[in-house]
Amino acid sequence: MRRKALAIVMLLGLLAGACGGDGSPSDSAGGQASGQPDLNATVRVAANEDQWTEGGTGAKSYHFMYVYNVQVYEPLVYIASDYTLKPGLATRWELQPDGKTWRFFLRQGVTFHDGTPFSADDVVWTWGVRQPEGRTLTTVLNTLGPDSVKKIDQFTVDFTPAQTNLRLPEQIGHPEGAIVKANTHNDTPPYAGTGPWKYESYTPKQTASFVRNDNYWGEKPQVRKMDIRFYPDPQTRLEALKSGQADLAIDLPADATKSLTNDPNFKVVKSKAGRNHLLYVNKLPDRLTTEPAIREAVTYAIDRQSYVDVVLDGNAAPGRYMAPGSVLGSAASQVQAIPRDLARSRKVLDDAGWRVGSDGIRSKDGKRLSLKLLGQQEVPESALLVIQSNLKDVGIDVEIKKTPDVATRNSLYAQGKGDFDLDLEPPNQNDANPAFLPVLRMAKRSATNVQFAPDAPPATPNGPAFEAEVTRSDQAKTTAEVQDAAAKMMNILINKDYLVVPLADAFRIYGMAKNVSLGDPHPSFTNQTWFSLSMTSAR
Amino acid sequence: MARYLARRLLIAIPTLLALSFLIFLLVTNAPGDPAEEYARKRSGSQEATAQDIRNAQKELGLDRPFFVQYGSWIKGLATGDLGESFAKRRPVYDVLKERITATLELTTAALLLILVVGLPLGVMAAMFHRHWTDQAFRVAALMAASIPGFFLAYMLIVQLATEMKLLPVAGRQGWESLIMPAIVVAITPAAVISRLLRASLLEVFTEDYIRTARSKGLGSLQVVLRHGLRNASIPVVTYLGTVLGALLEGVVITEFIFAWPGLGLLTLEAISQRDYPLIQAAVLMAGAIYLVGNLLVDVLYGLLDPRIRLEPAAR
Repeated sequence: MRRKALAIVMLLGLLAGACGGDGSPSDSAGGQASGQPDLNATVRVAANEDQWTEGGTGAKSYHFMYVYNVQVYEPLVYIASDYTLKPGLATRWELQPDGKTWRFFLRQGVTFHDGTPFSADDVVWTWGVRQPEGRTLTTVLNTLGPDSVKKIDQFTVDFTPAQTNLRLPEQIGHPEGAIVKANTHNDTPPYAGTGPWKYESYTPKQTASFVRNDNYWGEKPQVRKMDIRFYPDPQTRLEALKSGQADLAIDLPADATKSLTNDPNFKVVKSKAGRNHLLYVNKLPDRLTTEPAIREAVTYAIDRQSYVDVVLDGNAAPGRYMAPGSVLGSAASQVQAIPRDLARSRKVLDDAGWRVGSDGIRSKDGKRLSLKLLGQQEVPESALLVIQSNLKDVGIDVEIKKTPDVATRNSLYAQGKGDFDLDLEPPNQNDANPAFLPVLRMAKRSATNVQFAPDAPPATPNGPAFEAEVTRSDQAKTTAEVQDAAAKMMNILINKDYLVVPLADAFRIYGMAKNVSLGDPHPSFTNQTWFSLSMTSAR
Repeated sequence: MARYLARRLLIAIPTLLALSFLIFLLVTNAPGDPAEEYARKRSGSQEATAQDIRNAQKELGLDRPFFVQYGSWIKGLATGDLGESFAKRRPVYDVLKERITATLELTTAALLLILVVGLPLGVMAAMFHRHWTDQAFRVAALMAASIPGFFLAYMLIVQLATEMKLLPVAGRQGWESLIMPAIVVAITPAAVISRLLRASLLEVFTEDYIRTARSKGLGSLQVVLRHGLRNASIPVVTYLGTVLGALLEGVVITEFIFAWPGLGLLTLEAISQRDYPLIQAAVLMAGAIYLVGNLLVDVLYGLLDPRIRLEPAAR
């Protein structure tokens, strides 16, 4: 009897030891939102892993700029959620008669958080000294020369790229191009920028706090404080929101939307389609996909709707573009959507002499139609399996090679050789140049694009037309013209040469408590602005 | 004892050297080129050119022959210089220093939990041998040892943080946030220790000196605590020695799920960035801790059982 009692006492003691303590994480009172924004509220944001310390120090640092742009520092222009440009520290900008100088007219009466007035000197420091030394935003820097950035007067700055760059204003809005006070860097206190949020505290990899800048020149935040807590695991971020430890969670897993939508305490806000899941097709001569028929068959065999449903739980549109559709403006309609057409896919392969074998896989001249599919670390396993299953339906075997990290993936690219046929990537568009991604990945000017560039050997029949559009996009003086060029490039890549297979145009998913709102969710995280963040008094 | 310790420490030097060589060999032969990663980051573009990569190799010293690179690293180690992180461009020592406190907090808490839970359960299971309590503990230990860490982590988060709101979901914000990750790290070793101790105690219970103690009228618990536990501890201590090193490196998933900014997460980042100096230092440190753990185990053997001699017997 005594032994039994002793056992029970010890067991209870162990349980109490394991579960005890008043670990109440935070107040999370229920109730309905009153509807009145609480200007003194603190919004706790559950974010992905902290990468602010990863850039480097001094001129290389991107503290509070990238990946999460908390708007302590501001760029000359903002990239709105529809990828149009909005005035930031520059009120307007114009191309000068020489056809290569961009003149930026700066906002007057702006001060840094430490009270120092903002002027052209800060822009010259940021773009003439700091950026060239740190080389954080190379899309712009690669076109600038040593004396490209000149102060005209206290509130006017000229950018004269060494190589003509008509896309400069669209590129300069990237948060890494934010203006830093002359002779300072953004990795050392007092972290004084000009933005709507002022730095309060930062513990790397854990938390960061920012308070409203009441002297901000523009629209002021509707809450007093924003606390960011970093949770690398998306599932943990979701639980932080559900438990009341966070009020808003960024970049939630696709399957989180259902559980949040069904809970009356939460809501899900989705951005416009922004992250494009793409299948890049390697056309180098030693790959089977060098054969246009195989590329076409792959393109028509993919069931985009099932990809959206299975991989992204419905949080995407079936893939159509190579970049967010909104960046193409009215030219988006030029890029034709591709339906699944198994009959066409099979016929193309039959006509090319690929015959179905006893195991359902095609072969020709003793060669089996087996493709190697590469998937980066961030690509869900289900995405690779959907592709594998879709292609098997037309007799194409797929060997999946999931790479654990970017370095392994790059080793398979092997400096232009490329030991793969298909590469599934979900790239982001973080600048406002509509032609950014097609030029970056497909223009033959870059030696690293040999696997995909239509005009790089072995060139496709549409290669010269593609390069002509690349040049047109470089020289376009209006947004409409560059949008048109970008759409034509995408049409060649997707619908003519079958070098890019759009799978899904995914939405960004923000989960939040019912009393929180984020007015304008951006398809690109790094361009998300936080002016419109607001919270009512009750949750 | 001092001579023994000195000899063991001397033996540790070639062991660590061999380990360092093995680490260097494995790390430098892993797929992926750190120079390419560095060049990509430096140029800010998705792909690096061959020239960018050549420049990066030179800057990072990766253009030198393997043995020159290894020799240079070892020379640095001998003077306490762990090199500079490729990815962070900061001394490795500083980077490790920032993150080791969090990991030590977690592993210390886990170690305490292993002892506080594993030892009493082992004692009780032995005392109530063939009783339902023993059966219950056996099933519990089996389950604890079988539950995957990540699954337990999510279950704890959902139950204790989201549903009951007893603990914070994740992060490093005071002692409350330590509880769940420590449970996840400790549960399997605690289960193993409880079973090891039970088996060892049952064997000790058959010894004459236990019968003598009982015949003197000592209570069961007193017999176990005064006479049984010490003699039954040898396998437990041996296991703990191996657990120590594993705890340090085995917390990667736990740190990721619980957003615990420790060495596990850092090592994971370093591996994905092919940050050779950081990977090498982190793995070597774990190896050194493992060696120290084993040395402590050997010392503890002597203290627990005087029959075990650390010094060779005099001829």
